[in-house]
Amino acid sequence: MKSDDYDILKLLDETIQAQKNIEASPFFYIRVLQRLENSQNSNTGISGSYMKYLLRPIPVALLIIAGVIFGVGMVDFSSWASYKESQQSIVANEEVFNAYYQGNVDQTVYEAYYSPEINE
Amino acid sequence: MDEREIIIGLKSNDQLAFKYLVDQYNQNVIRTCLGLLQNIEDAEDIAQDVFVEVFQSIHSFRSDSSLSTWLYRIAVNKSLNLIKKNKKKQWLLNIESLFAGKKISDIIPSDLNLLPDEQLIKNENQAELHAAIESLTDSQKVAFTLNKYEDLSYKEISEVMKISLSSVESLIFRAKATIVKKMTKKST
Repeated sequence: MKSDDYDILKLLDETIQAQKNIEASPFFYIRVLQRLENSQNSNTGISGSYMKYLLRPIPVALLIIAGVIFGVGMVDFSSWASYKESQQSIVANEEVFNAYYQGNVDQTVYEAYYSPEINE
Repeated sequence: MDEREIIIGLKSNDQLAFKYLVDQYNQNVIRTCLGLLQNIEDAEDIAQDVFVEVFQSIHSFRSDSSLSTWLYRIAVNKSLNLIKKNKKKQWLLNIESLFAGKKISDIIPSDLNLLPDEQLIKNENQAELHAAIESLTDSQKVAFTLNKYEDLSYKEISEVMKISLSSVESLIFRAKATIVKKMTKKST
């Protein structure tokens, strides 16, 4: 055997020996008992894994649906329609205004858009 | 209490017998798991599972092997299952290690009698050994661990692994050769 290999095996043995000297936690037995109790409890009643996988997503889904409904209900859709109309009328008014100043539109048409009675 | 009395006590749900079993064998089981998993927290976790399983499955124990052989078998199977499970989550563990880094203290706590540079060298050796053992096949890992960590004879290892004596010899020889090769490569 090469001397390098021998040195490595010796190092290996020393390293493993250090790991072997680790002592278990003094509370090991208590932890084992606790785990045994948990394992026995999980096999009975509604806390079984099947019910856990079924019951957990249901309230989450209900919350999401309630949030969507509540959120949608808070929005006033009629204001969207009037907003769109007002945007369209702003664009139309601007076109008439520009056309009047370029001389493309008659005074009567201009006054029809900007008449005080219509705007009131 | 001998093995026969422990088995009888466990079958009749005797807490004293169970405590005796845990006290008697916890070091052996933890060492076996540590050799395979190279992580003290995982080793203790799995060791607890081993004793829980022993308590719950004692009625299915057929006494065709010794209680200690059965314990080692359960410890080896549970450790290998955890290794397989961790392999699937390896990408997540790699990401975690980028931020947290591999904790050498997971393997062995610091020795207060050593100087800091000696401790550093020791930690590096631990890490190299860990990497070398991880590169072994499952069978080599088990045979090597039972031989080196538990000082089991080849015959006892063949009973735990349910393979022939010559297979055990071959596995241990190959495991040592692989580890030496890996550690030589690292040091050059």
